[in-house]
Amino acid sequence: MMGLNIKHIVGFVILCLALIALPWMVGEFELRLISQIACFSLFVLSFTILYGHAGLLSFGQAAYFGVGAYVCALAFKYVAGMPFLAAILLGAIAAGIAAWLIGMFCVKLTGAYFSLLTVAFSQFLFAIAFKWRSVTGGDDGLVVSKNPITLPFGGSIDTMNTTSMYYLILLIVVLCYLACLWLTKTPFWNMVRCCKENDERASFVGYNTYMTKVLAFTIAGFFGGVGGALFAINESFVSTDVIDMNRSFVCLMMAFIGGANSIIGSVIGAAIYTVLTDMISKYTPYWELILGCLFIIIILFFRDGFVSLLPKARALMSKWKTATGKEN
Amino acid sequence: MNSETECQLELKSINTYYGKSHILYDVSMKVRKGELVGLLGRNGVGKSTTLNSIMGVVTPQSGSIIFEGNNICGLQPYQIARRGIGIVPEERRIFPTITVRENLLMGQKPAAGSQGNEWTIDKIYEYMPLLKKLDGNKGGYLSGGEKQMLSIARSLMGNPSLLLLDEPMEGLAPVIVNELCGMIKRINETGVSIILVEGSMRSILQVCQRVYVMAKGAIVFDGSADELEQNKDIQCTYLEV
Repeated sequence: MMGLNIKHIVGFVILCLALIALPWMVGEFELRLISQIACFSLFVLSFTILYGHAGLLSFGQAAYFGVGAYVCALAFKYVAGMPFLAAILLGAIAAGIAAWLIGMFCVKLTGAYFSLLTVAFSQFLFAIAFKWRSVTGGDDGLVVSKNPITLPFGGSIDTMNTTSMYYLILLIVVLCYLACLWLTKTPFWNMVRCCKENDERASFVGYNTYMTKVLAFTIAGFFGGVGGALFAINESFVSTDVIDMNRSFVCLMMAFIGGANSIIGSVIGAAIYTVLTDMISKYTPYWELILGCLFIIIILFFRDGFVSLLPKARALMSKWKTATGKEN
Repeated sequence: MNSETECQLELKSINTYYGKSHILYDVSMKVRKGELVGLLGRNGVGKSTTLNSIMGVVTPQSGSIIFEGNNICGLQPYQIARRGIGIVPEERRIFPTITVRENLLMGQKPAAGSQGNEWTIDKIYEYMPLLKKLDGNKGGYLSGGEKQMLSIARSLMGNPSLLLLDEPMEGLAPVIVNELCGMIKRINETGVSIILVEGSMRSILQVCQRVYVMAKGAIVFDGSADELEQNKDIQCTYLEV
């Protein structure tokens, strides 16, 4: 891949080893929380590639997260012996199709009108999940009855086991991130970026900007759907919480906390938000107030999110190293 | 010469509006294959609107635009671009966050017809050696003249058979203007027809074979560059400030 050096590879290997060793270092609750962060990071990624790369500010990303979660849960409920990975794929594809259909209407608009239409469609899907009780369970939700994963050479993986689930979610999330990183290096993604910079300019070059944006919207929805399906599996339960407005705004907060223009920022944002929510809510019922203040500070002083602090931290480290080197 | 068969673009009495404002009044013009045509006029007379109408940015309410035998009125800009019309809009609209080479690659597409002899990055660098030196530089860091050159080069990468240049000399130093004029001539010599829109007469007379003059949204003069140079009435009434 472009721009990779030995430092990056070593860093990536160390990170992978640390993530593999994690189940031995933390308890079951923490492991579930980390799996949750992984699911949310894909959800935030779906927002980031839309807003940060394509310049489309969607206020309704929960729609695709929710469709992914519900379709995955329904696949387990209604299809006997539903293969585990197929259920996830089904959820993701359903979310992608939903995003494609919604995107065809939304990307015709720009600015505030685009954002408002994404909210409208998201609320429409929420209403279906809420009202169609016979299928979705309404606000009572659905229990996700997962089947064990049968291995090709015999044996099976217990899907009720937190550690196995952690590894599975981690593997899928890493694959999705690698796919997304590859995608951003393709000529198609250059087109997406050009549409963000100037629609008219891109169309003068001969690009169908409408279809480019619809496709970007669909890809974002697909990744959101994978996140939703994994979330449903991790929680073993789906309710209207996954598809409501609040979920969309949580996604937006996570994205801006991490860095709404950065793919890595989506992991950072999901991690900071989830950990802080868990930590603060242990001590005070007013945890949302504190998170709100944090969000205000980030918007006012760190618009590029926590990911923008990484180069500054690296520069400080190298300064410190130089200083200590001179002293010695 | 059979002008009908050689006619590449023909605007037939087009009337273009922005909302309720009537901008172009029965504008008719012709561009023959391989011709370099100038479109002159003061600010606000409808020169850019004429180009925008050709390019599909705004659709004329009446009249037709025939390009290589087909009516392109009502098509989307990207469909028109794919048929072989390239445009270099005002404000040197290059992509600032990607490199010169990437900007060129963004514009790359095969020729609409089978004209062969397509533009490649190497051919562009041969015609514009300055861009070769700037190959890895980000578009946003180029000077005005360099941006203009890149903008024209990017359009050429789409292998247009007709190129629309909207005030490419605006705001550039005289030395750069001369260089650009030479470049536009060389591009035209490769067989690409060009409509060059300018506010100033000097550069148009330097390069164009035929000139249209616009005033208040209508064509008021259609003739050769020499005829315009000798027609002081048109110059005084419609061009001089």
